[in-house]
Amino acid sequence: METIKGIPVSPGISIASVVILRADDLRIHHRFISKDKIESEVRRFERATRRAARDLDAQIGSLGDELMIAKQVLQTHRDMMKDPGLHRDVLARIEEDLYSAAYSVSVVLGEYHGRFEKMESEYLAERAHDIKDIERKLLLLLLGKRREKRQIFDEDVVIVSHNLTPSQTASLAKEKVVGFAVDVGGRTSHTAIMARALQVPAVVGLKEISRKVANGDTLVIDGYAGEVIVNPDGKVLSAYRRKAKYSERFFNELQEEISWPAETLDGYEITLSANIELPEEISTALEWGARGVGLYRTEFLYESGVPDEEMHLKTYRKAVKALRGRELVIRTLDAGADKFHEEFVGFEEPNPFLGCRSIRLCLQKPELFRGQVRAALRVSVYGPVKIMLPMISTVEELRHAKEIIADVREELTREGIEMAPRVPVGIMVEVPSIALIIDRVADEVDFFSIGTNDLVQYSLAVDRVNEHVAHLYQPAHPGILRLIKEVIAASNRAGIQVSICGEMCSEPAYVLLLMGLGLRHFSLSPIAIPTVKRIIRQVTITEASEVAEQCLNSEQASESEVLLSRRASKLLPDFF
Amino acid sequence: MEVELKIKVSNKYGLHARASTALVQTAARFDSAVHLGREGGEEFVDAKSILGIMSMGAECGADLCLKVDGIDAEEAVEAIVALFERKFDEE
Repeated sequence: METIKGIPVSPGISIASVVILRADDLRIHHRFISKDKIESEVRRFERATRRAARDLDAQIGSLGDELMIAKQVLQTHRDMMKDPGLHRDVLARIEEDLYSAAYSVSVVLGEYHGRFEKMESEYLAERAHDIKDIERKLLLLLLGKRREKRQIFDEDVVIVSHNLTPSQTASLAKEKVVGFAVDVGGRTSHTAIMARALQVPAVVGLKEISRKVANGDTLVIDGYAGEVIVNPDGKVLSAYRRKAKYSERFFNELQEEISWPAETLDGYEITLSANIELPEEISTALEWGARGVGLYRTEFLYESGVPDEEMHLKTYRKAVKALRGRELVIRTLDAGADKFHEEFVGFEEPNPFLGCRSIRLCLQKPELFRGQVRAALRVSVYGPVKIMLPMISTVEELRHAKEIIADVREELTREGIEMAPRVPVGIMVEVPSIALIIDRVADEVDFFSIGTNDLVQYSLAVDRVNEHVAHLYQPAHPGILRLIKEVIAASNRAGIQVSICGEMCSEPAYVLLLMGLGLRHFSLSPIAIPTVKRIIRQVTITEASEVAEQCLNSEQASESEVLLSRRASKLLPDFF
Repeated sequence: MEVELKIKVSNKYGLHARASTALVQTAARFDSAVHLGREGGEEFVDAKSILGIMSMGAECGADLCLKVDGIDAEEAVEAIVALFERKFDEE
């Protein structure tokens, strides 16, 4: 038995046997041909590209709209198959150098691959993966390997791979795949997006899992904790079976609970909204009982380069329409400390988490910011939207951003473009400095949303994905609780709405505590809504306040953690 | 007829996927051969090839040389120059 920690990107628990997707054996044995074979090799190549383009079309057609991302990638691959430059280059190799079709393809695409990989723009460098993907497809056809079919599995399986290409994901018969565990990737990797769209648990960033497991091994994928357990022993297995069964049963029971209000026993209503990344997630979120979208992360739009205003607008309109009159809080670009960094910022930073990211980046590159703001204001004619600014650390930044928003509004008015008369602007409270002067900021914003992930990280100076210090990442640290309490108190005094949108509020153990600290608006991952609602419906605000008081008075987070999980396990007996 | 002229990439993000696709689609509408290279450089790529255009990695501000050869060269140049001037409709 071995437990491997990774990044949870799609919630749920799956227990099933492993199917490993490995890179195919694409050794080319026949590199050279005789002159009389030229014509037939050319024909084989042409046939292979036609076939590949047809296969791609079929794959594109078989994907539902929830897999839009995969569709777009496959469409680019199809365009590449028909690329006249590719055809000319390959034909030249066959006709002039007497290379076999397979060898020509591998040499020609190898050159492109090398060129892309070296590109400074991270976006273009990423396209090297697409080149590898189409090379693989052509070679499979040319080497007479089994054509890529939709794989059929007799039983439920979890897919383990070093990296899943979009075309691999598309070729999986999705009804039997109950989970993904992948070596590389992050929250915005294709695997993550796809797993969420398919509603199966996934953990990525597992480093070497594809080498550590074998076909047929039993794997537990815990998409809540971001853990994968290889060949669990009897005790662990039964614990996870219970947990999995509970979540399944729970979600079945939910059908009747979904319309019930998230109201405490003493009559306080808690608003539960959803955190989303794609408009496609909204219908599921509403099914789970979300009252609106409290955090729309827009970074995904930047996945293949900087989107233009129309692209922003189109996507936002989709989200607003899907919400049918419910609120959409659009968070402006929060990228920078990750893979988008170099492309946007144009320089390397020794410490990107403390560097030019998020709103700082937007203020330094106002053209980047303006397009998004224009779209956010324009979409306000279709339904209620709010703009949320991330990473604000000083009052000047807030004012600067608001000036730009006002300026954009004027510009749109001059152009005769319609907008809602008022689009509220709020900030994320995730930098300790702003949390500490929240009373001074309150007059200048329409709402606050506490982003606990970064607030905890910045307050405790701990990178939670760094395994050497991860134990110091303590959301229940009394210092954090004081900060949160102050923010809530100041917001209440100023009479503006305050919500919380970090992962902390999806965690059953913290729900009571956060309510006790005074929070009435939670924004969380859609799938956590039913669980959190169940807790809310069993408690009173009085008891929540008592719990919060005890935690505030604790010396250390561990005391609070014990208290909180004991409470939560009473409320959700099967969950723990 | 053959036309050769200088052209500047002035859209913010350079010839990335979206701009490249637009360029390839425009070039493919004409019978003329359309080639693009860095100004002063030796290498030219087929402007009807998405792989070729993207592999130039032409960023904003890059000076390029456009070569068009064929019966509809004038119309092709006009359409392509207009596309560059419209900044590939990015803004």
